[in-house]
Amino acid sequence: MNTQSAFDKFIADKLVELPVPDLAKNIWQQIHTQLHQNIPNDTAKKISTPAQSYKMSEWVIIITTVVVVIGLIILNQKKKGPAYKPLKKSIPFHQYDFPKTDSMTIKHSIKKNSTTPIIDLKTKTMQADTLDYRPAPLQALPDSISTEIKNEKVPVRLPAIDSLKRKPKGVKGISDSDYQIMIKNDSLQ
Amino acid sequence: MISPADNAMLVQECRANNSKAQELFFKKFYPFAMQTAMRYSRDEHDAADILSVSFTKIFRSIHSFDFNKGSLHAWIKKTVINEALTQLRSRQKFNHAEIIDKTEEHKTINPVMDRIDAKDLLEQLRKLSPVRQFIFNLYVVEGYNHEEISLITGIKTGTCKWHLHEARKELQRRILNLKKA
Repeated sequence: MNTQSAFDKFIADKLVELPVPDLAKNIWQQIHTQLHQNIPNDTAKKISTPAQSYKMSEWVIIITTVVVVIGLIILNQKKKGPAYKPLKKSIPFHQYDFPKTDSMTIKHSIKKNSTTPIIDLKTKTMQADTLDYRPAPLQALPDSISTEIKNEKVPVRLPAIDSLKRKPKGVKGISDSDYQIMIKNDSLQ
Repeated sequence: MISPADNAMLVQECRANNSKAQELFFKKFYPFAMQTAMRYSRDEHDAADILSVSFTKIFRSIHSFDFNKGSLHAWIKKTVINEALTQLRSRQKFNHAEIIDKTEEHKTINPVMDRIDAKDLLEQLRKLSPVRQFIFNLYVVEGYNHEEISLITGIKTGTCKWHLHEARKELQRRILNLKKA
């Protein structure tokens, strides 16, 4: 509180006596409308919420469908197993690395049933790149074996790599016999 | 039935958005609030604007009012003064003039002054600059000290003192001139 002078006290007392104009009704109407305006605003918000929720639900539906579709694709891929990837480049035969582990089991099963994959002997004369080394058809095999073979890679007996790779030695016109060491007659003496 | 005498009940009903209770509340505190608003406004329309906004704010924030923290009258008065200050700020910026501390006691009351009407006094008060009118009201009528006025208005204490001094001087001169005329 401050310390008031006589003048201040006089003014303060006078101002407290101030008559109040009769504007209560008008002011109350203003207040009432201001307070009432907020209610429609609130309701407007409430009305707008379904639209907002519709938008939200639309987004939720879109997102869930995308997730479900992706999930189904992943599940299908898992069921099918790893996807077959065709070789883009044709690998030369002598560079191709054939699986060794599977061959034993399949060989065994083949021995049992005395069947071997058929490979045309003519393939030896063919170029390594164009050879078809896919296994022979397994239709002739009994069902139990065929299913076993279907699930595994079939080994292929391939021609010796050296035989295909090796070129004839020496120079034209010179045979192997020309390189044979001959004992001179002088040494025998 | 709500009794206007029971403030706590009235406040409780206003919190529940009871329109009748709000009207009752407004009518009960209207003279007091209007008197306050009139002192801080330039005319009756200004005062009515201050009051309508103030009471709207009061009804919106009535749930935060605590009887243990202060009286309802004080809370309403504070809201009205704050609204008046807001409106004053929106109209013009406070003049942060240099501090000229010329505060002197005005102990004498002219016998002419004693016969002045409250309405005329308010008219003369409203002729002061809005800042001076505001500071004079805060100091003389509400009883705030200069530090408190400085906190409320954001004006430096020295500047407040200067404004109060100028307001007193001007008001005295105006009242004397009024009576002479």
